[in-house]
Amino acid sequence: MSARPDEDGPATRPMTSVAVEPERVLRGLPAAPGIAVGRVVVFDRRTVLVSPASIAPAAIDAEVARLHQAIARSRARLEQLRATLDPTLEAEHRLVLDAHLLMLKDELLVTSTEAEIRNGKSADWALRHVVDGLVGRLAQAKERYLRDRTHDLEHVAEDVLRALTGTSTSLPPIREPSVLVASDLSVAELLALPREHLLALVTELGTVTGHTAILARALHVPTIVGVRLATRKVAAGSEVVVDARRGELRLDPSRDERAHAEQQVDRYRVFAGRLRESRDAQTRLADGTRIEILANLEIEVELDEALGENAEGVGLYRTEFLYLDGVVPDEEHLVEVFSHVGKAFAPRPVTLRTFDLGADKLPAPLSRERVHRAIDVAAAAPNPALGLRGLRLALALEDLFRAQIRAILRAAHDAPLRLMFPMVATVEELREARRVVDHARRELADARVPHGTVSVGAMIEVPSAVMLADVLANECDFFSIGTNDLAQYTLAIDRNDPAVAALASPLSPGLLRLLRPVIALGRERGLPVSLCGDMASHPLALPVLVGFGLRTFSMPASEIPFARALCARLDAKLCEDVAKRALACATEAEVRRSIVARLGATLGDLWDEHGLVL
Amino acid sequence: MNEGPDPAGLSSSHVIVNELGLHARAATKLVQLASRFEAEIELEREAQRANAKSVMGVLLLCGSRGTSVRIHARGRDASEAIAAIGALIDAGFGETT
Repeated sequence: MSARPDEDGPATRPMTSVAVEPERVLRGLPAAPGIAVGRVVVFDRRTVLVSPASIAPAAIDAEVARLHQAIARSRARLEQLRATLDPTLEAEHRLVLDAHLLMLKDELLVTSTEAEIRNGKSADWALRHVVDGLVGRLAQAKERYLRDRTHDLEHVAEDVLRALTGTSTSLPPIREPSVLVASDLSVAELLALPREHLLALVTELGTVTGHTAILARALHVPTIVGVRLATRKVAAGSEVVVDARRGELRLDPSRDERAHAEQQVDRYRVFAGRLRESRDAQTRLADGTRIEILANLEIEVELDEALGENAEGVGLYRTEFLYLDGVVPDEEHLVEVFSHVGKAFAPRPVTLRTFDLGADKLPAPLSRERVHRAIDVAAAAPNPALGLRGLRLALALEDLFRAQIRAILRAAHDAPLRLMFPMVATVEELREARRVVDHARRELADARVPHGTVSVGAMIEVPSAVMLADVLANECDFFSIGTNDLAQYTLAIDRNDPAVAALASPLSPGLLRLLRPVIALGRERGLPVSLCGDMASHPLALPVLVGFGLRTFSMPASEIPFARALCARLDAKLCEDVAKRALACATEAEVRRSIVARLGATLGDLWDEHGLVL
Repeated sequence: MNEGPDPAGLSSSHVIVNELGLHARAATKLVQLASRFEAEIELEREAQRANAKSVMGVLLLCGSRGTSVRIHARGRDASEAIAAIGALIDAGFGETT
């Protein structure tokens, strides 16, 4: 399951020849599962190159007219796109288009460009020159959200430049089944594509948790993101195999490779169809043992995905995204968001994790006010992963933290919500956070504001929390194990560092040994324990976790059907045996081999369909 | 609204109260509103002026929270324009903080 976006070729290339072969396989991050074979349509959004060009005085009027025509074309396109936007999309997307439309008729942009043309410059050169000047001025702004506006201006200018230079302006038409290889694709663009002709999507930019990837999963379009230089390495019209389960793009497949891939396409279709059919509300092992499958949620679109997959609740609702678009959400807005998700799932429980900011996720500098100084400190941390982040940062931003806690308590008035703190490392932190909760509850009661009760849990994702699990258990109502961070902190591996990321394996014996006692403690004490990292749906790790006694798993909605299919083949006794063998292993490779040996006969075909490389 | 003398028309001072100041969303709303009026409208901050109907101009003015801006308007519907834009700024651009 290790995805290496930066690796441009098969991991083990046979060393039989020293001749430089053209790259046959490009790699990226699997963003929406599936496999496809088809011809490529390339969409490259990169900046249009403009060469300086002077024009004759007689040509000036015509050149000005050319500029206005290009702007009009660009505007018509934006207006059309705005009109066709799905009305259920957030107003936010609409306002971005509004801002772009305003830029297109902005005097600083249009009048200045016209003035440059009247100085004897070509329209494309004049526009580029004016835009560069404006970008330079915006880029000097102290506020990051203003600096970010330079991207908007660039997008707007590029679109006009494309109209001026006759470069293909927007998405190429897709009239037959094709694989789209794009530098980048927005949600609106993906929605505008003919779904019946879109076999697969490959992008250079984008992340697995980005809006476009989430939408691709919802639309069942096999998608790989983060394939470096894809638009330059893949020729338009050439044939490719997209294996989005593995994050592999194979160029110009041989006849055999093509035939093999086509077989897999058919098999995957049957497999995915079968998975989707089994959307039982309850998951059971083959022996009848109940397994609870919850969803991880981050943004609105995922909510429908999770409801569609019949998740039994939400095990991890990440609230930090509410803080990342440059505006600090106020209490009323938070109440609205939390009530909405709570009511959507009621009576199933929704676990809200208080904002886990810091390290790789920091909000844009919000203002120079006192509370935000903590964010600057976190941003300047010598090692952000070990700096002011998670619950520590929340306690330092007490105003924001209290507003969020109040909002959760208020939203709990009419929906079953649970509250969970990220990155608990010490008992002191947990106590301090609980004091904030108690204080907020008293405030609400005194002011007679309607609110509800919530159970309060701690994320177990720092090794010290594992060692302190028995004491932490005395001071909270449930645990949720975050295996991504726990692996990172246990193995001293930065998941964002491609040189070592693959070593943070969920099958690492050190990690497995840390997990078992926490799960066992929960069972002894009757304390609910769930697990919400990538490991929860890992095809080899899931049986081990069942063997440790874990009964509640939380995962991205797209993984739920597969996890259910795995569970339906397993029984508790078998898993206990798998777990016992895994714990006896000294190395990750041994763990892997032992699971494969014990479960290959039971799960082999599922692993294969899922794209697991053994 | 504290209307002061302006040789060329009307003007009024306002303090930016929303958290982010004149960020893109706020600027978009302001320009959309200003464009509905015939009057020539300008925003002034620390001796810098920008056409209130130019989104680039308003963005480059970079008004962050707490700074004060002055709206100038000249023309038939100048006083309505000032009242409407002033109200938008005072209301924090419809953001709640």
